[in-house]
Amino acid sequence: MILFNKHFVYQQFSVASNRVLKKGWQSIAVIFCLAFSLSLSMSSLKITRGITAEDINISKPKETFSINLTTSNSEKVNYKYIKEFARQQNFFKHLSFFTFGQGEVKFYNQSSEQYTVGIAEPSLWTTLDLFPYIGQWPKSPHEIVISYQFWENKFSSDTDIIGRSIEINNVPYIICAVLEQSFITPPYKMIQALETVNGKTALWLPLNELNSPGINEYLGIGQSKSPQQELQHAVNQTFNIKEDDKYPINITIMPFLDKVNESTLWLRVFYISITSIFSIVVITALFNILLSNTMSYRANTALRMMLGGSLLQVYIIDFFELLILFFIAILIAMPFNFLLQSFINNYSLYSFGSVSAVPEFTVFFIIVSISLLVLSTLAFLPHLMIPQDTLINEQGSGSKGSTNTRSGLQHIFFNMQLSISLILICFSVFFISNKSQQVDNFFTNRITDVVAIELQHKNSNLESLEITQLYQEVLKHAQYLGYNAALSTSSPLDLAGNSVVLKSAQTNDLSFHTVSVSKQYFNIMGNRFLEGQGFPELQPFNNDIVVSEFLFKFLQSDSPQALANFKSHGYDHILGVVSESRIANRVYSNFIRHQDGIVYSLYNGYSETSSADRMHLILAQGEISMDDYNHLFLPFIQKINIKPAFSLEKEQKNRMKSVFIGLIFSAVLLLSGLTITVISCWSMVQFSCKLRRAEFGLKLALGAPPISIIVQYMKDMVISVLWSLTFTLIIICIGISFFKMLPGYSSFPIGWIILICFIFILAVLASSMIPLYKYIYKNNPMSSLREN
Amino acid sequence: MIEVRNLVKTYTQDSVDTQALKNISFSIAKGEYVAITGPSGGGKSTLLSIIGLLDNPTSGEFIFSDTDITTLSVTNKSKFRNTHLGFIFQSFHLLAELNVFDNVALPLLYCNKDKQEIEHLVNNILKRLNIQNLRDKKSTQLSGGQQQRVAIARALVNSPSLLLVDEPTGNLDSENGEMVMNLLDDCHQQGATIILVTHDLAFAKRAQRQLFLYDGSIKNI
Repeated sequence: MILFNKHFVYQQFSVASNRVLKKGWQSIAVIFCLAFSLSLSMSSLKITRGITAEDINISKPKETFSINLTTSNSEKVNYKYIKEFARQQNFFKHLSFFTFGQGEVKFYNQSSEQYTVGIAEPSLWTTLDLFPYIGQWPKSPHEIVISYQFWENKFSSDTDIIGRSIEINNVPYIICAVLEQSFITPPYKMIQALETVNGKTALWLPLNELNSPGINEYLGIGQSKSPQQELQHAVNQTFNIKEDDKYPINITIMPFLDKVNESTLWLRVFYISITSIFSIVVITALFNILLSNTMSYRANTALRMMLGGSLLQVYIIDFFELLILFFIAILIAMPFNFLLQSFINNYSLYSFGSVSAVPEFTVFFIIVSISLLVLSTLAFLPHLMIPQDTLINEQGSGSKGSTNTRSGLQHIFFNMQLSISLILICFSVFFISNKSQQVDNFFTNRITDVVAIELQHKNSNLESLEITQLYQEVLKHAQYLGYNAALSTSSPLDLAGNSVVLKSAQTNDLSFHTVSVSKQYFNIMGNRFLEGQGFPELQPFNNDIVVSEFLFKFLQSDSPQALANFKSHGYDHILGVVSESRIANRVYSNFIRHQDGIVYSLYNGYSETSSADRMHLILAQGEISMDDYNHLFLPFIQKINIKPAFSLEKEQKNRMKSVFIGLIFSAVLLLSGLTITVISCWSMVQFSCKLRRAEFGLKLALGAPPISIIVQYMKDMVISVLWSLTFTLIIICIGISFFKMLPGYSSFPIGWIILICFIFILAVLASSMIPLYKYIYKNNPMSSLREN
Repeated sequence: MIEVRNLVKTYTQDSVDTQALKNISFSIAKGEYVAITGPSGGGKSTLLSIIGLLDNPTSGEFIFSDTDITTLSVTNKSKFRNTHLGFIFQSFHLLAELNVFDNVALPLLYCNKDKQEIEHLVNNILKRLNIQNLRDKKSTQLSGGQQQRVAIARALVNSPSLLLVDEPTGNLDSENGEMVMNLLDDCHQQGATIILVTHDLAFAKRAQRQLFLYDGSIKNI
């Protein structure tokens, strides 16, 4: 095989190296972008997967939980409450609390320095299954543990440190142990401010009755008694130490890793966004370099093929060029990667394990292989698209037609890139516009202090009227006990009611959900009435309905017949229009369009949707205790299954979190689309200017003003861009009509389309004008006339 | 050695057909030196492209040593060009990225000769054309005459059975033109079959036979 011929390989490699050198600044820019993109990608798997148990030395992750004790009114938590809670609970085998503060530290008669000081129950170390690097865990209230880094920096790793004295806030302590070097302070948000000022936690004081800082939040780590025992993902309880306690303590229990990773979520989203943008930029830039190679070295390719070289043998130069760029980029990426990881580990609480310049082999192999495969395929594509015979013929018969072919091919790829970028831009804007509706919704209809409990009757033989009576009894019972309560046949945050589709020959199909609620529902949920009112206290009619804001707007804006069509189907008694606080959870929604909104009917057993088997009891309070459960449901325990209560405020915030993440990724898509537009326009104009240098020179020599050439060129560009727009519009129309069928997506607003076109044209013009200006005014195209 | 029967080549541009070659038939024996002459647009370069397998005829047969070349696959055509044909062009077509040695060695690399053989063959041909002193120079550092000698060396290095020469003196002064033609004469005397396309009737007369192409047809043989 010729590919194994040493001389051949050497020759092709040296040609490729020369090409890289010849490109000068362009190569340097690409190498650095590639290096940065690779260094981001190298750590991306490690960082995006979040913090693992190994990263923070947790040996039993499934059994380890995080416990937060807080007082809602900022009242300080007395340590005796913590001890009492630990004594009363029966879930954890080991349970240790800790907190953080600042301390004036003085040793060896040196001046005092301020450090972040951890204050932990001595049992924390055994709960975490840790062993000291040297010494023993504290046994008395005056013994402290120091970090490895503090020991190394301040005591020069002196192994005789154990038993020495150190003053913290003028109180003497004895050093009893040094932590392992790999120990990482559990990353919690609340200690971030402390940590960033003075670095990592240097010393750990014992937490006890004598030494409790009296703050309003304590952190705890607990190991459950049995691995099989599962706690609810987040348990919110109010813990009253005594019946008459004025300030109850709120307790939140979560799996430890979930708690840790919750605080790194935004960092990870940011990281993925940056990595994606850089990768797209680099791939586009490299593709344009290789494409430009294919065009610029076409004559050489033709000659090589005429002398008997196959396409693969000729193509290997491009591949070598790619390899050279990659190799140099990888060399630069290694220290980049090291600095990046060190930065994350040193300047934030978020540690993702040990820092290493060399990435995990598998990840690295996969990233490099995929990148090379994608790029080499893309680079090979133009070679394949040019018929060999044509290529050779161009060489044989001089350059007849070759300029046109080259220019044509470049335009095809240019248009392809523009189309891809425009598709990215359109879809990202489409997603942003849809998500922003949900954000608007969230800020105008925030739910506060409402919990929902899902109920399901146990007797499958019940008639619908009997089911209604049963749930009405639950409601009456709750109201009798003094709870501000309501019923709803669907979860108040989901669109999971009965779906109705009204078909009409005159108007668009109308689809909505019907939900039955009790009279107090809107009041408890805090939904505002934009028009009309809710269900009347006295003598409500069975066909009374309240419609959601979105449905009403849709009915008004669609066509004059839409409202008539809606009313003709029995929805003719509209009492009012209400604001909407639902954030549709797509996982639980079906595939039917529901964007047209909701129709609320009164839950009284007679309306169509009153026959729901499941029911939600809505209570106007922030959380409910076990006592509340007992009071509310004890009489119905034989008849109804009761699921745990969930706070609508928290659930709404959780859902908004995913909406915000979606918004960020849409913004990433938008930025990527614009970047591809700019890079491809830039490359295209640069190449085209080279090709048309003689033409520009001649025109200028004949007295044409430079601006007229620029205008002529821009006209050509607009024609070219129009082709892309036509192709893109077809794809977008198909795509959007598909997305419109999905739940949660509305139609594409005309305002956004105008905005996209404006941004796109601006990007095209800006990225075309700069190289064009350079070629016309700086490079003097008239010099090409002398060369010819 | 070469037999061309009823060769037709038609180009279509903007829905208009233009016949570049009209039912051409001729044969060339092994070791023969043939010049193709004629005015511009007569079909000389088109004919040379088809004989050199750089282009396909619209119809007709092209037999080379009892093989119908028009039926070969793209890969086999590449191999055929590499082993049987040598090209010399008016504008030399040397690769600026390579030095003289590598330019000349290119056809040998594509037929996978080993390093020693390549060294031997390239050095021999450079010596024969008296350009061994240019071995390490880049083509951009050479004069027109030197570049054409390198192009001839590249065409001869694989000992092709047919040498296709397209206006070899077009970019050269008279002295260098004469030198190149002398080299071609030498090649012919050593047994090479040569097809020369030229405008220059004086150079054409050095061939054993002339084909005059006018408006796509052979007028005199």
